[in-house]
Amino acid sequence: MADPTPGMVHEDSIDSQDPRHQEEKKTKSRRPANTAFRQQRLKAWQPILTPKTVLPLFFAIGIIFAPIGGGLLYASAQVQEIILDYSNCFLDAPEFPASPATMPSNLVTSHFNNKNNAQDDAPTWSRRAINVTYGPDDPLVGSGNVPTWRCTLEFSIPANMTPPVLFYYHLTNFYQNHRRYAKSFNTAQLSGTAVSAYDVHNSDCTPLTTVTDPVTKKEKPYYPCGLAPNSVFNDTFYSPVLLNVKGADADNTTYVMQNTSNISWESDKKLYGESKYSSNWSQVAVPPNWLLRYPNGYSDAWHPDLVNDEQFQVWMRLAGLPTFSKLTQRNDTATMIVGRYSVDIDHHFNVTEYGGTKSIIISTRTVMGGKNPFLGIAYVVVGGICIVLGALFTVTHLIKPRKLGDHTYLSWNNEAPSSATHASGRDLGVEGHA
Amino acid sequence: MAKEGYDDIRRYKLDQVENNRETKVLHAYRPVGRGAAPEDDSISLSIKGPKHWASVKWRDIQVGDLVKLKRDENIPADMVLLYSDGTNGIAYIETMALDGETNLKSKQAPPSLSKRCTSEDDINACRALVVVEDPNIDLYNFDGRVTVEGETMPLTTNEILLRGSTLRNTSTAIGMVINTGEECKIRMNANKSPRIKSPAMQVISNKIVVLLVVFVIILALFCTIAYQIWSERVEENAWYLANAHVPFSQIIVGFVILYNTLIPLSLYVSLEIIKVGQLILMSDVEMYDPETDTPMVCNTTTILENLGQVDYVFSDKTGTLTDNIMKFRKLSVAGYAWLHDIDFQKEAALAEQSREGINNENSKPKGKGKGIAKRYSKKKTSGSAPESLIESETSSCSILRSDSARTSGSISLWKSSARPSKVQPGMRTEELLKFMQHKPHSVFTKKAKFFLLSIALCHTCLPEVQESGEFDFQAASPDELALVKAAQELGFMVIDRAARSITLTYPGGPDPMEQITESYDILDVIEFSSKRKRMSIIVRFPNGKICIFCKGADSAIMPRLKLAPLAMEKKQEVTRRSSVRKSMEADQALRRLSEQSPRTSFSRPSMNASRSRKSTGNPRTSMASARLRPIRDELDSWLKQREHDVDMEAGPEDLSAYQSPRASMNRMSFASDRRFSSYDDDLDDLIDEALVLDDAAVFGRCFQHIDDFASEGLRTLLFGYRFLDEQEYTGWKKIYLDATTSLVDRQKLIENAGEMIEQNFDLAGATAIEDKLQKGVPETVDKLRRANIKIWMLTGDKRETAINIAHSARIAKNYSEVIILDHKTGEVEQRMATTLLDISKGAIAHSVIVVDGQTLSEIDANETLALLFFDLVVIADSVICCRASPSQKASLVRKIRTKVTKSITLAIGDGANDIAMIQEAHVGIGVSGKEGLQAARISDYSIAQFRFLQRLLLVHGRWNYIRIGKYILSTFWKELMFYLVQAIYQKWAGYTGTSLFESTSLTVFNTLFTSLPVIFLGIFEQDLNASTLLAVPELYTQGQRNEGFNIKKYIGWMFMASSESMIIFFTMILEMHNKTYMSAIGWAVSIGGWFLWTLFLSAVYKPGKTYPLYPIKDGFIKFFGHDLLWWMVLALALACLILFEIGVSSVRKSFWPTDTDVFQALQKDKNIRERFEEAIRSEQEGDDEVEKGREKTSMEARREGEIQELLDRPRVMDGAITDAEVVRSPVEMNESNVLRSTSGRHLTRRKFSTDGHSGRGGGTEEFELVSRTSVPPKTRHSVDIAEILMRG
Repeated sequence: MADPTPGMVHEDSIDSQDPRHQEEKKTKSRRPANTAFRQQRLKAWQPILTPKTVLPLFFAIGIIFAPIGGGLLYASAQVQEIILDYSNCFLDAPEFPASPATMPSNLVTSHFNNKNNAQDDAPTWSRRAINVTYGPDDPLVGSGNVPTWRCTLEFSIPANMTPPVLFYYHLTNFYQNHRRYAKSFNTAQLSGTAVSAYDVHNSDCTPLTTVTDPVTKKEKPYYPCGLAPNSVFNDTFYSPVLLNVKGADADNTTYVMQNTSNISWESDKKLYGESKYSSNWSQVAVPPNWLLRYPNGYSDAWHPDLVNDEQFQVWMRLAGLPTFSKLTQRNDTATMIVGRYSVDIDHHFNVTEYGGTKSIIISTRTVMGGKNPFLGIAYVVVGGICIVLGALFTVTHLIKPRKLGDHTYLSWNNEAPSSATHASGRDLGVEGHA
Repeated sequence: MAKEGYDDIRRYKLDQVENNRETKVLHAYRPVGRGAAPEDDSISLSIKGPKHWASVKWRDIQVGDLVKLKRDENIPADMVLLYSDGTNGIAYIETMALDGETNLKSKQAPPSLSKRCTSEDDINACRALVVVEDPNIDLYNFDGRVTVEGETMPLTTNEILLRGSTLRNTSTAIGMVINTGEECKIRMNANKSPRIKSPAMQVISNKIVVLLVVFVIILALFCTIAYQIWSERVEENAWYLANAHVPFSQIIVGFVILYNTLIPLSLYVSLEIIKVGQLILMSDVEMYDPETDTPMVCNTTTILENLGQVDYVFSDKTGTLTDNIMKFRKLSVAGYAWLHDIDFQKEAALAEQSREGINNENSKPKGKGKGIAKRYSKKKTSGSAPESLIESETSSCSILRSDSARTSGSISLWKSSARPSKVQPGMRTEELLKFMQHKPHSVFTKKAKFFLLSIALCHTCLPEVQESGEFDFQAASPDELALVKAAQELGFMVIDRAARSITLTYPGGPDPMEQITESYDILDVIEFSSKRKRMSIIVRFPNGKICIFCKGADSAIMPRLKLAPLAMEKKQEVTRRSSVRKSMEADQALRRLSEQSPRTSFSRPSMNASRSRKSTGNPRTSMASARLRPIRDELDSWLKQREHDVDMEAGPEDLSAYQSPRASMNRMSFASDRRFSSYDDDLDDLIDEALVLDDAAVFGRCFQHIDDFASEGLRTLLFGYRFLDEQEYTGWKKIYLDATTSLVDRQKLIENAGEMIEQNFDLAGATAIEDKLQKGVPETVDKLRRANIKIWMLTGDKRETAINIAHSARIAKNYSEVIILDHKTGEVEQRMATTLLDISKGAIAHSVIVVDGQTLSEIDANETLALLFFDLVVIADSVICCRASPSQKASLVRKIRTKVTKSITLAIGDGANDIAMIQEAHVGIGVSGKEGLQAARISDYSIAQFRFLQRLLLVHGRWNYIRIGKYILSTFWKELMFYLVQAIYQKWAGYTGTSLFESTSLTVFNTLFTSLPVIFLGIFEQDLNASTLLAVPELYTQGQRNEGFNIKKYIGWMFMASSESMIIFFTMILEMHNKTYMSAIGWAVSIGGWFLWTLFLSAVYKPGKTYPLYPIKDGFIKFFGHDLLWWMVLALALACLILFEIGVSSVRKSFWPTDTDVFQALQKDKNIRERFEEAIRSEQEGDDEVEKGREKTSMEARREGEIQELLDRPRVMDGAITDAEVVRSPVEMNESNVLRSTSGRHLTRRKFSTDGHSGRGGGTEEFELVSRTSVPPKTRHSVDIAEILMRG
């Protein structure tokens, strides 16, 4: 009984068993772990994508997306807004005291629900030369008289605009995302640190970092330095005024829009701090574009207050595209009732020079945000494409059904005739089918 | 890098193991003069100090050391044999690891030395000068001389023990070291500096990376130019951008930096991670060999994906394909062939025993028509079968006594691996014995007895009594051992072999139990040599008669037969017949090859089938399965066609004309007789005495048998004998003595002397020995072939052996055209040319080129021949290279690797002689088998059994390949998609190089967000189930054709990436119309599904550390996270992407499906999946007979159900359907349960396989089937009777 099989006998006599090998046998087994994971037998979902199986998906997406698109379109349509492009107001609008002229219609876009109430009184514009002053009256501290144009836009609101009513300015062709421009500010300086001239000079603020004081011949950093703060949008918007409706007794009422709080985001605000330069304002220089406002440099009485200048903060949240809108004032409480309004804008910001435009947008908002019909359209289109494709697949499937896993399509079946003759065409380098 | 370092350390450790092995070295002397003559290691032995055998580590062995070896020890260095305690100072060594030859080689110490070196003291006293050649590569020649006391003798290979071989059958040998370490011949043969292996895919990915670099540069240039233009148009006029112009150098560098992330540097890093993951997952239990406790071992991870692209497999023979175990399988005596399958029966009996305990009364015969089954099962249980089986293990003679039920059971358990479908003859050697016992005086019995006697006598084995009382044998070759063993099993036991006699016991006389013990004097032994191809032994019978027995290859023996002309004639007849069969099979194979065009062969009928079914309006209950049914059936038949090779005997009706009529008839009649008649009658019918006496008939049938045996991959030997008269013998003896004592040309003289006496033999019989293949080898070879992998066999063994093994391993098929290139015939070039022409014309169905080492070296020497040769072997279906030295093996691999540059080569071997080849191939696999671990150590992967190769390649190789391909693609894809968005954005940023994404996010995009998905893809992806891949090896070709990852595919993915990045960008624009920058960031980040990151950023960013450009703090949580619009845009964009992807891929899959897609679909179906699993299981069972009965379970039942269904189906829709509906299972095919079921004319016939003695469980069901379909062994019987009548 020593040998269970003849085979074993043979092995013993002819084949040596490596003696070490047999010893190993007694030690622990080297059998690999037989777990589902190690043996790659985990349960898996193996979907197979064929037109047939994706048909439901297509239809499902189509069916889901189309209504969403509709909803979005509806929401977008609920938004009431008026956009007035006033870029050329200081050139083309009739000068006071000439009566206001109708704005060219291509400069006006408006979306209002109440079409019935639509009045034929198109927006008009006019301008007048004014002198504005910034800061304290003292011309040594404040700006003194700064001559500029004040543009007055008159427009009608055909339907009540429910709060919040938002007032944006909209720029085109303005490259806030220019690689240099986008980096051109100094976060430390903005957050209040008194960054030295040397540090500013070596910061990203290039090319607007420091200036040599003509008197002391010392380098002085701009505050705030950089292209982005320098080019802050400095047109001044006033709250719209509801004009006397003809025949009505009421006075003009200002529809007050505040511009000092709740325009910028909470997170933006945290980036700014009281400037440490306030100990000695003479150590910093005014950026070139700000000279209008601060012709005499900064002083304790008249200097930028970035922490509370929400409009500046909004500006500094740089736009990713050359066309953008930025919120500048809002009214969260009162309804903007139907009527004719006029808005005054002090022109400082030159857009014509670089071929851009500037507009104002007065808009309401829904849950979906502002006016944006594109998203709705996109949803509808995608949904539509899905349904069309789904239908197409269905038709193909009905006309020319493909069997599941039809092995006649296998490559080696199709190649067989050629590979029969040269069983190894590949090796011959024939590569007939490769 | 660290990984490679680790690999190195592992190899170093393995080396350490080898280096630290110990051996005994005589410590008593100091070799003098070392280094004095570096060319000739001249060393004289001198004596100093006390002497003892000290244990010395292998690495400390030095030239000149005296080493003492024990039996079965490995030889640590090249040595001169000084002494051996074997008879005549012969030491047997096994050189399998060295050159692959399986025979033991006898080495003899120079007599003058061995005389003087018998003890330690003698050695010390001995003064000798050994002069040897320089270390060189030649394994087969050696030059040197030894001078002992003025007497000089040559040293040839006969005295040299080479490292890498093993001492066998010799208890002690002493040798002197002449070469150590790297100077050993085996090391000289090895690759000196193995090349560093690198995956083939890397070439493509490197190219793509280069391409990307170019792309990045172009993109940067384009943007720079665009910036210049934009600058002129916009920037110049913009007051707010005064002095903001970016200089040229900065802008271009900026762009290059911006886009450089397009080039996925992480690719290479993550690839390493992936490979480690894959490595861990490759430890497959299916590749674990419980017998030797060896799992698969990866020694390197660098080339995992190459496993999926192998085109050529270069395999060693011994130890890789075969176990080097010889089994006596068949014998032909007096015109009758008998199968010897005692070993299988024992196994089966053992299996049954174990099974019996489990399902004792599990199978009650049920229902009607089971009479037969009942009878047999009763017989089995009532009879003493199990007991007798057990006895048969203990006593080799007990078979004679075994119950008659023993033979009732099965047709042969053994089947030829070369021709598995071939019906084996029903007669087994037990029946032969029974017949001899029953009719001790018939002519046949005498002949058979004499034949068995000659087997028992004609050998050089030495019996050894084991402790257990069993006899064991020491033999020079495993073949001889198998023969002697078989003789023992058949009752002729060699119990002693003294110097000049053999003592046998065998049953005889009137009482079968009585053992006769006889002693035969051995007069002379004329040894076997490969030139003579035969050995002879001259014995004096106890009764004084002298007889010469000779055994050898049929080509060697046949001309020496008394009736040589008759034999020749018969031989030719047989050859003609077999060549007719062969050409028919080849035709069929060719036809099949050409038929495989789509839709013609088997798709059409099924289409009709499905339609006709519709038209008959036969509503099926389960619609789903009905829909799939035609596909299933088609697939089934298709797979079967792939699985089963052309084999004419599968359809015996066409072929009966070509078979030896008598033989076939006889088998049949016997097979059927046996079941239905009692055994005594049976035995009478068994042998036709008239036939036995008819020499011509015996010759004819014997050669037919030999031909059959050979075609089954068995190694055949022909036995002849002649009685000599005293005078003739003494006359010859003188000549022979002269020859053996001659000093010059001894070998030649002995040969001549042998020639003189080895004449006029009578034919005793023929034997067939099976060189046992390792488990699952033929199936694996088949699978690999189906996977379009060419299998070459490179072996050091003899040509005949190699061809035999090639046949049984199905490397060569029975219809293959075997082209033997032999430099001796001198027409190598012409032969190659014609073959080349034939193959390229498509005239050869399957070509096998056989070339031997010497021819190969001649071919190598001649440039034109070499060119021709490689043209030929590249298009041949298989190549067998025999007698090849390790360096030749390696050079063949190298040639193929360099010549067919696109191919991936894989070398597999187990011995030290395969090392060079393993290192040379793209992928080197070591079989960590019995031969020690040399090959496994240096290989890239080591497995325990050749059959694991199919899983390693077909499953893991393919998975790894697909995984890495997908990983690389998706890495490129994600990079391109993500960063192309950046490029597109530049148009809106004035080409100034502003980044769309916040810089930290940008940096971590690769590492944090997107690395994990692709890494998981690279580790866990399984495009198809393992069972599918194994069942359909054709799927493997994907890797060979480089389909997983190529430029075309790359471009496709990149196209998708660019389209998708457009989509992303423009949906993003939508968003930005109205929003600001930051949403874009959060948004883009979330594409990767990493909202978390945004949350993290939102939370972590401190107000002090500000980023006004990309306002992040609280951005996600408080602002756009709250903004419904933002989510809507996100949803839209994602939906767009998903739809786009899904749409494109589903359209592609339906109109231009790849193989993978098809099979992904197929494997979804439960039944098809089962079919695949079954295909694999059947294969495992096929060679695992023992477990067979247990394994067939549910599938079997299902099949039966299906058959039943088929039978029950109304015949309305016969016509077209029948062919498609054939349900044939490979299980049954392989188990030789031939089950054919078509709805019409075919019969359902089953043969009893294991059921005879194993499964009472499975047995009854099958009988049921037989009876239902009213199959008729009866008809068979009647046919046979008719044939008998005809014959009469």
